[in-house]
Amino acid sequence: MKSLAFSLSFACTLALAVAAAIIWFSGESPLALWEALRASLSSEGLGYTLFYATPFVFTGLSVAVSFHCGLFNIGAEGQLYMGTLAVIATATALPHLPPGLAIPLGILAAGLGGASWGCLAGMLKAWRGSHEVIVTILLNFVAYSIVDYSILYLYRDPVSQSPETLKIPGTFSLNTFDELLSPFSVSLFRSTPANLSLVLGIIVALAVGFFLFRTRWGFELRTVGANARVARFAGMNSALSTILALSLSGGLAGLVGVNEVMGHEHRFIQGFSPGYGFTGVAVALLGRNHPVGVICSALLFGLLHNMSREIEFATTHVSKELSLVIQAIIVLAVATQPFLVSLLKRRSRGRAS
Amino acid sequence: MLIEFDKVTKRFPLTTANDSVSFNIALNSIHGVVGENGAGKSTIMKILYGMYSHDSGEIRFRGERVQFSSPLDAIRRGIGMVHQHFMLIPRLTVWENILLGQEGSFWISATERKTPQLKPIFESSGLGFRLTDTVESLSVGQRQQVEILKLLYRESQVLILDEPTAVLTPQETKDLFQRLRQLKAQGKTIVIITHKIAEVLELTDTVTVMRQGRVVAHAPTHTLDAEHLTELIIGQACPPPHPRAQEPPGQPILEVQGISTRSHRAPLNKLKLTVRAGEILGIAGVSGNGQEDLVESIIGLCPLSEGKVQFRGKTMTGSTYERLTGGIALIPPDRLDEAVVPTFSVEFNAILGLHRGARFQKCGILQRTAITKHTETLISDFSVSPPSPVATLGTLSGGNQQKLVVGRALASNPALIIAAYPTRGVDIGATRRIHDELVKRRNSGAAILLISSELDEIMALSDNIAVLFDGYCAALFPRGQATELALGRAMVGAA
Repeated sequence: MKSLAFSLSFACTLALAVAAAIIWFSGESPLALWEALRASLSSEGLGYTLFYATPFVFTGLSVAVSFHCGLFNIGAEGQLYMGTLAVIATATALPHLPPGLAIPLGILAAGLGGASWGCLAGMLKAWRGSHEVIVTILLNFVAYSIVDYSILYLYRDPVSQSPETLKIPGTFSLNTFDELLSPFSVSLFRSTPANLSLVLGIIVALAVGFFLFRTRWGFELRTVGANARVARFAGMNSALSTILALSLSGGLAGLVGVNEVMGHEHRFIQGFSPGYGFTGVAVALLGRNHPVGVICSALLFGLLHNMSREIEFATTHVSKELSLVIQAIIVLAVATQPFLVSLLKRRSRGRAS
Repeated sequence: MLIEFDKVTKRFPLTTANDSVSFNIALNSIHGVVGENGAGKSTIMKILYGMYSHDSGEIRFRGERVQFSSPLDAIRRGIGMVHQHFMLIPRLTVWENILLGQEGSFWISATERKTPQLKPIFESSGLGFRLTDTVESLSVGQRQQVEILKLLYRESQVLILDEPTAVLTPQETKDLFQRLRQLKAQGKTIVIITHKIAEVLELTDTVTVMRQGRVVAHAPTHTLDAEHLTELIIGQACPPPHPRAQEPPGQPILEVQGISTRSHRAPLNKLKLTVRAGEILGIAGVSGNGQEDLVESIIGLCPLSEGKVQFRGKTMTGSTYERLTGGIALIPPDRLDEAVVPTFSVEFNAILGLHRGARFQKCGILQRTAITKHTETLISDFSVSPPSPVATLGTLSGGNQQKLVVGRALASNPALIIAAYPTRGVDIGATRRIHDELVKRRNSGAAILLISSELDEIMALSDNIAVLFDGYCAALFPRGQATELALGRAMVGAA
């Protein structure tokens, strides 16, 4: 945990320094960064920060689980769309359920929708030997097509000008923090979309941690990830672990649909994800594939996402794509950190002697 | 004196690896550093080589105080090291491996430019391979020669070899020693780190004995004999081996009935073997004659193209898991690639393969208390050091890892034990411990299939010895009738 905190702060400091320099070069004041940070942590901004962090929790966990099995799931993007589609399909098919049933069912549908897509990749990997990176990338495109077709031809809102589905029944909605807190006249999250999906995310993260480190299936999955040959010699079935890992990974990505549909928009808007699935790789990497680390780094990525939005509002020359630059630098800093740290150490040791 | 260690101390979080270590290494000598696993002999050499930095004390090289900040530094000053696990890239040629890190200019192919420099070194050493061979096509012994060539090419004057014979066959060991003597004659200084007493006595001029991080003796080799040296290393007189029960063996437990395999490695060819209860069957053979396939056939990881394997009179068809929990225990041939996960804790490694047992999991949830208790028992039964269930396995020395693997295999009280290279890389005390344990299991009726590259081990433990050559059983000797010479002849197919 100590090294995690170090790697986070190291990466962020470096990234913020570069961001400040970019803003400076665009002719704006680097102080905009500070203003954006303050705004993102204030009451309304905080709500948005948490809202943006939620999908990163799910996709970060998704990628982390596959990493633990030695697999690189680059298909979280497709899986999260399949999960979202499953929520829409379920809600459309069962419009008269009471909320007590509708909400668990919606969450289950999101998980299963994503899991089916991950499972497909897992079976191809385990039984046919296809490389999971290729398979998951390609399945993304299949998912996009299925989802686009479904939005446009099966569930389309006929009066809307944009490609989106009809709204789902209200029984399927999750409360926002604002709705939950307003009876107590707490206005911390006033009119922000942060909702109970984040709580779901945290519960799921703890469950994933328990699964990975405290159950025998998690143990087998991690052993297969560390060395499939050792796993075989210990009598484990590495094919099943592979399928399980990618199914779980897909299911976790699918839960993004809960935040998007049940928590916020109540409908499926075509192309709503700005690459949550792909950013999940960075989130998992920064969080060292540990569930608690993933929550921390998801919050950080949510904050960055929101800050870049704030900066775009506040300045004329800086666009919100700055957040992508910052993300990229964070990833680079984390990836090269062992090297940079040893370089620094050697230099200081050289100086000392 | 070429190298002087003066009160060098190195502490790790859990242990003091070197406690005020002082000794000298003379120019142009072969110096042995011996001791049990974890005695600190590798650590002190790694400090010299710049891989670790020491906490106090000093090291003098050619009379001058030095502290290398990296191996690169040490190499520049003429000190080179061959590690227990070779640092070679299998896909590249011998040439490219030797040049690795010294390629020089980006534009001109280093292989072309530097050929003249290496040719004489290479040709004078008379090795059985070419510079253009890929390393993956070489035997283990040849790979080691490549490592040595690498050092010679870098003009190392001091060659440190860490457990150089751990992976070699008897013949390869002989060749290596020949080569090392030749290098000494050329003026090099050689340090070998080892725990094999016979080798120390045969090869070295002076020897430093270490125990628990301290130097306990430093003497010219000719003043010591095997018994004295053993006593110094383990700190007490060596106890006699566990007595063997004289009962005749019982029912056949494992019957290998004419099996063949089609693997890309060394396949089996109509192999027939029988191991009975209360019997140790030793498998002698040069590695690469079907040992891996034999092990994997028995546990169901290698498909058979003909024949069958019977366990307790029944043909085995189940999965690896069913076999390994149905009375067969395995000490896998390759520790790091088949037996342990170095990044996991000791306790997770201690339940690998046993983890589905009702003791260690309930409804899929791992039972931490039971696991820790089981691990602590293994640790104390086999004196694994450091005695911490939560330590990362990779921080343990190879011998301690192996003790854990052996303990784990024997924990389930199996009817058949497949012990493949059970003492590879393990020190004297632990080897004796493992041998005694195998004999005890034999006495109480377990069938044991012992595969080893050490003839001494095979001859000391086995009731019967089968020689595996080219995938079939080339000869079978009852206990006491096998001589090293006869075995050696059968092992190369000259029986």
